[in-house]
Amino acid sequence: MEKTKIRVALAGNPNVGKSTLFNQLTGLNQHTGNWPGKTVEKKVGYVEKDSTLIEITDLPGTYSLTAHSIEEVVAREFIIKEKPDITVVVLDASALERNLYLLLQIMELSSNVIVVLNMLDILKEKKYKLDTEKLQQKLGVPVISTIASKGIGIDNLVEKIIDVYKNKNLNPMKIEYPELEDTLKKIEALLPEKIEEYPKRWAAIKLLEGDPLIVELCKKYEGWEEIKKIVEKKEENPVKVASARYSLIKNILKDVLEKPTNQVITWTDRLDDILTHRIWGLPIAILIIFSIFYFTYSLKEAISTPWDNFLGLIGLGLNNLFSFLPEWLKNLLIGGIWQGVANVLSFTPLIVIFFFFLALLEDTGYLARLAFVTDRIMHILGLHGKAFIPLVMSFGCNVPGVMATRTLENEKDRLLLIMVNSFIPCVPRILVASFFLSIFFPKYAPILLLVLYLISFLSIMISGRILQRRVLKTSFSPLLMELPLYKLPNIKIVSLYVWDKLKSFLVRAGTVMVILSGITWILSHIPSGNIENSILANIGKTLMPLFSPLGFNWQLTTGLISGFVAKEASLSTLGSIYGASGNALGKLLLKDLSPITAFSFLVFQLLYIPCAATIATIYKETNSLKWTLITIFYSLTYAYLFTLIIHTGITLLVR
Amino acid sequence: MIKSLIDLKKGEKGKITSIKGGESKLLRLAELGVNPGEEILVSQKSMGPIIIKVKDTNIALGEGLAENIYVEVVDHGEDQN
Repeated sequence: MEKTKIRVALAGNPNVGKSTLFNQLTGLNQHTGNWPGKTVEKKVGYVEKDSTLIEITDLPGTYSLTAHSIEEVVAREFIIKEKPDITVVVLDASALERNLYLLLQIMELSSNVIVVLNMLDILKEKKYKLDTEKLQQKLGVPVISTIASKGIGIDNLVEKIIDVYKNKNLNPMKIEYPELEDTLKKIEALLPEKIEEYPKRWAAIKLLEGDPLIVELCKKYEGWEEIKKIVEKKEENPVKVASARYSLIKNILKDVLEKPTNQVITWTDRLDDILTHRIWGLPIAILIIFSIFYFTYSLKEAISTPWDNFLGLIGLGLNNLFSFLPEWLKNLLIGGIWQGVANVLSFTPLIVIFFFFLALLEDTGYLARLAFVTDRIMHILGLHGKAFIPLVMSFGCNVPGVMATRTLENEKDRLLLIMVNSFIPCVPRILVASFFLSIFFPKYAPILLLVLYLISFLSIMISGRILQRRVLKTSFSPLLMELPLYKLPNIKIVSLYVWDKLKSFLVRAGTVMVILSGITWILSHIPSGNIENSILANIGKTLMPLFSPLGFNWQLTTGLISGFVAKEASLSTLGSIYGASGNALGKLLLKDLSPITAFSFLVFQLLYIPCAATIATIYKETNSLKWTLITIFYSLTYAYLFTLIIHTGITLLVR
Repeated sequence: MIKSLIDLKKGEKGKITSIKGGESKLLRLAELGVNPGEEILVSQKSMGPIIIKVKDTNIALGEGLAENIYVEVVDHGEDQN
C-alpha cells in the first residue's frame, strides 16, 4: 500500500533547540545538502509511523522573515512556494515574547501551523508560570510541549502532525495590528489581485517593513508611485511594524504568562558573570583555545601516524594489484590519482578532531561568548568577534578555517573572511619556513618565524581594508547576536555535526582536490618521467622572468607551483629537483641562494595562493567560481607585490 | 536622563527612547527585541561590546551599535538601591 506522505517544515529562532528536535525526530534518517544556488545548509529527514511517511525540512533558524539575510529568504520562500502541509514552529518557552515575533509572521503566511514549546525546564528554573491551554486557545493552533534535549514530547508531536493533516481542524487567530490596519488597507487597495504567490496582505506588511525583495517586485505595478508615498518615511516604518507586532504579542501573553517580580538568577547568568567578565573573559578564552590546540595536535599525532601508514599500505596494495598495467598508467593511477585521494583522506583526523571541539563549543553555548570576548581584539584586524574561531582554526589548517566561516550570517562578511583566511599560515607552511630558517638563519630562526606571523597579521589588516573598500564595498557589520543559554553538550548532536562536516569535505572538496593533484602529477611526469625536464619545470623556467625580481631561480619557482597541491610539497619537489633531501638539500640551497632570496621565498610561500584543498573548500563554501577565482587572483597579486617590496627593500638596505 | 546605551554601567536598567541607523539595521535590532519603548538591563560590559538582557534573552551588541541606541535610565541597579 502506498504510504501517505506529509510534508512538514520546521521553523524557529536560532538557539531554541530546533536542530535537537530535528535530530530527535529523524535520527540518522536525514541528508544534508545546500539550498539550490545558496550556501545555506538544507537538511531533510524522515519519520515513519504506521502508514504515514513524514518528510521534515529543517528551515534555517531565523528571527524574522524579512529579506535581510539569505536564511530568511530561504525560509520564507519555502513556506510560500513549496507550501508544506504543516509548518512546525519551535519556540523557546523561556523567551516567549521574542519567539512569538517569528510565529506571527509564519501565521501570516500559512494557516497549518503547529507550535512546539521547547525548553520548559528553563521556564521552570526561571519560575515563570505559563498557561499552555490558554495560549492554545488564543492562537487557535495546537501547542505541544517538549524538552527536546531529553526526547520528551517527541511522540506527541508526531501524533499531532498526523492528526492535523488528517482532520484539518485548525482555527488560527486572525492577526490584526490596530495601529497599522488603516495604512495596510491603503496599500492593499493599490496592489493588484495577484502578486506572484505572495499573499497580498503579507506583501503590504513587507512593503511597510521596507523588505528589499518585495519592494523590487512591486515597483512594476501601476500603483507603485502611490504606494511609495505611503511607505516612504522609511526609517520609522519598520520600527512601527515591529512595535505593532510586540503590542499584539503583549496582548496574547496577557494572563497566559506570569513572571515573578524578582528575576531568578539562572545558571547562564552565573556562568556569564565569569566567562564574559571584562577582565577574566579573555584569559579564560585564550586558555580554552590553547587547550583545544594542544589536544588537537597531540591527538592528531597519535592518530595521524598510524592512519598515514595505513594509507601507505593501501597504496602498496594497489601497486601490486595493478601490476599487470603498463608502467605509465600504473604510475598515473597510483602516483597521481591515489596520491590525491590519500591526500584528501589524510586530512580526515584533523577535520574530525577540530570539528568535534567546534561542535562542543557551539552546542554548550560557549562559542557565542568567545565571539563576545574577542570582539575588541578582532577590531584591530578590521573584523569582529565572530571571525575569531575561523581564523584560529586556520592556524592548524585553512580547510576547517574556511568551513567554520559558516557561523557568520552575513554573506559579505563571510566572503571577506574566506579571502583573508588563507593569509594565516597553516602548519605545513610553518614546516617549510622552519626548514629554510634553520638553514639560512640558524641564530635568528625563532625571531624570524615571529616576523612571518606578524607579516600574516599585517596582510589580513591591509587586505581586509582593500577588499572591503574596493571589492565588496561594505564594512564588516558590527557584532549583533543572541547569547544562547548554556547547556550540557548532546553527544548525538555533536557526532552528527562532525559526521556532516567530514562527509561534505570528503565528497565535495575531495573531488576537486583529486582532479587538481592528478593534473599536477601529469605535468611533473610528462614527457620523460623526470621532473627536471617536465612540463612543470618548463612552466617554472618560463615564469622565471616574472619571479627573478623576487630573486627566485627556476627551481624555487617550480617548487612553488607544486606547493599549490599541498604546501609541504614545495619542499619535496625542491628535493627531487636537487636530488637531495634534509641536510644535503639544505647545503645545496645554501650554495644556490642568497639569504635575502631565501627570506623572500618564505614571505611569498606564506602569502601566495591557498593550497588545492583550501581552494576546493572555498569553491564549495562560496558556491561561486567567480569568488574562488577572485580569491586566487587577489592572493597571488598581493603576495607578489608584498614580496617585491620586501625583497627590494632589504636589498637596498643591505647595500 | 537620556544617555547612549554604551554609557550605562553594568547592572543599570534603561528604557530605549530612540535608535539611530538605517532601516535594515533598525529592523534587525527590533527582531531581536531591541526596539524603542523596550526595557533593557546591561548585564555585562567589556572594553568593546556589551551584553544586554531584553525580552528574556541575552544580546551581545558591538560598540558601534550600542553607541547609537539611546535610553532613559530607570534603575541604577544594586549600587544605589
